[in-house]
Amino acid sequence: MRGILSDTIAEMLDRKTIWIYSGITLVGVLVVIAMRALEMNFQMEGMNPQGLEGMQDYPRLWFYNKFMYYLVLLSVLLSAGSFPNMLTRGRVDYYLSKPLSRRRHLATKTAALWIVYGTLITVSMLVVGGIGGLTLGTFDIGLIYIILTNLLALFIWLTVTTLASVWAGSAPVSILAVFMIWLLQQVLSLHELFAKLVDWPLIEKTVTVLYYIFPKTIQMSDSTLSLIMGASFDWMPLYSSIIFAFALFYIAIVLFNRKEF
Amino acid sequence: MAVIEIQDLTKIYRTGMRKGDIVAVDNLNLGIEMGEIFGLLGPNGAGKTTLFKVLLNLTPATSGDARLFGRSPSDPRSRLQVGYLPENHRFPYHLTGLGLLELTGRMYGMKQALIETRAEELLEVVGMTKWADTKLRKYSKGMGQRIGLAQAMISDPDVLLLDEPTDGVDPVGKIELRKVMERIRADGKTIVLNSHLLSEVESVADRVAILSRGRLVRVGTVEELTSRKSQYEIEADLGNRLLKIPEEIGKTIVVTSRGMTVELVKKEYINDVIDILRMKKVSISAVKPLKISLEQSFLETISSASEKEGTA
Repeated sequence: MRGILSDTIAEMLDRKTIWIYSGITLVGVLVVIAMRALEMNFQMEGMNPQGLEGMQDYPRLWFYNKFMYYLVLLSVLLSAGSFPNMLTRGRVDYYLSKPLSRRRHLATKTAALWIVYGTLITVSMLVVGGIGGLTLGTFDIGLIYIILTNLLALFIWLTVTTLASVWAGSAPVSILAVFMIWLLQQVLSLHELFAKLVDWPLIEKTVTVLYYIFPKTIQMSDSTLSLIMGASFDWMPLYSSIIFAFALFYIAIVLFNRKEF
Repeated sequence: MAVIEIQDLTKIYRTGMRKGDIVAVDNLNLGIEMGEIFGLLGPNGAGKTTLFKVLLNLTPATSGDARLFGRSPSDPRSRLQVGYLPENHRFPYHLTGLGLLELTGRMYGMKQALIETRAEELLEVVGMTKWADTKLRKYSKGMGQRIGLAQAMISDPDVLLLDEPTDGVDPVGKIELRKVMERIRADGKTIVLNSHLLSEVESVADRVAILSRGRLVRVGTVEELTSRKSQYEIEADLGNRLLKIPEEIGKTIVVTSRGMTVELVKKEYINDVIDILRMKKVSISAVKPLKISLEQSFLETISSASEKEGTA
């Protein structure tokens, strides 16, 4: 684990990824400072713009949640090339000729990516949240929930890129797989509306089943915000997304074990 | 003790319906002993690299059995005592030379202190100390081979699988590499050397296997492969004497004033030839089995194997 982790860190540093996170963190800090003024304006004017539900009471946490959500997607894109890079011809021979099983290689690499990119987004969020807390004079404890949920979301997306990488050995295909599933979960989140519009039981059932199968990182994110706001937490998106991630990871292991290099 | 055992090993690559299957290794039987330098020779596509890949579980065998230290390649423990230098490698470019050695050591489960000691020692051995902190992407091919050899040796393995280790290495580097291999052999370790440079194999290998189209066509010591069957060069002062060897013993191929070359029916008849010469009062200064280069032996073996395949 130590070897693959330090290798992943070295690769991340070599790609200068850390600068991208530094830049985004800076943008986040500027936004959160600007939000202090925005927050005061909302409170003074009693505004509640459409699509910004929850902002009236928790504008800062709403921003943290969105900021973290996109940090996760960014991390998935930035890390998508790491596994295919390891599997390139001439390099895979080096890695797999070592006394480690393929399952262990796959697990340690995925774990290493999760630790490295998870640390980056956590640090970024804590810096933004910390400075936000300083401007307000109090630290939002809800930030911890947001970080934990999004670390889980990062793991779920990493299993998608891992499977795509093992199957195709290509970073663009991995990114495409993430995009397709992300798009699909957006569509499937409207499954109830879909059921009302389409009067065809088979399609209706299919869409509902797919909704329960596919990950629901958007709903996970929304549920976390609801929890922070005092509402109850919907566990179903969390459970089903975790099951989906482990199923994908299992398929990735089976495929990787069968792959010839 | 055989550290590598290969029995009836066959590897077929399925390439699709149109192209047909490629038989990379065909019913191969081979045993490699502890402490020997074993050369694998063969033209391109003979199955040498595939054999390494099967041994290291990079690709599964279609049938037959391959074992490293008595374990199946699918068992990661079989690779604990194996160092590997792949052909046309592309080590992680984001690492430095030292970083590569550290990563390799960690993947073998070595302690950090031991990795540091071994890395320092090996960088010195392969002449890369000066470039230890340079990123691998800046290395020349020869430098890449040197650091590749060092990473293969980091865990002090009992078996080294080297696939074209001198590819891109300068002549001085080749001599140094030969010395390193001899030192490894002196420590009782095994090296399996896959190289196109026959002179290099000839100078270091104890035994050699020649593969052609996945089949083992010849295996033996370098001595066996390079000596002409039952041909001897006799250095002797023949003067003007015309010597005839009885047909049942053999025949004379070349006669010069400094000696003669004979081909015998059986190797043991060399004593009879010496007796004949002594009876004729010929002064013999040396009797040597006639040798050819490994390259010549290789070419003859490959051409004979191709002819057999052609007639089969």
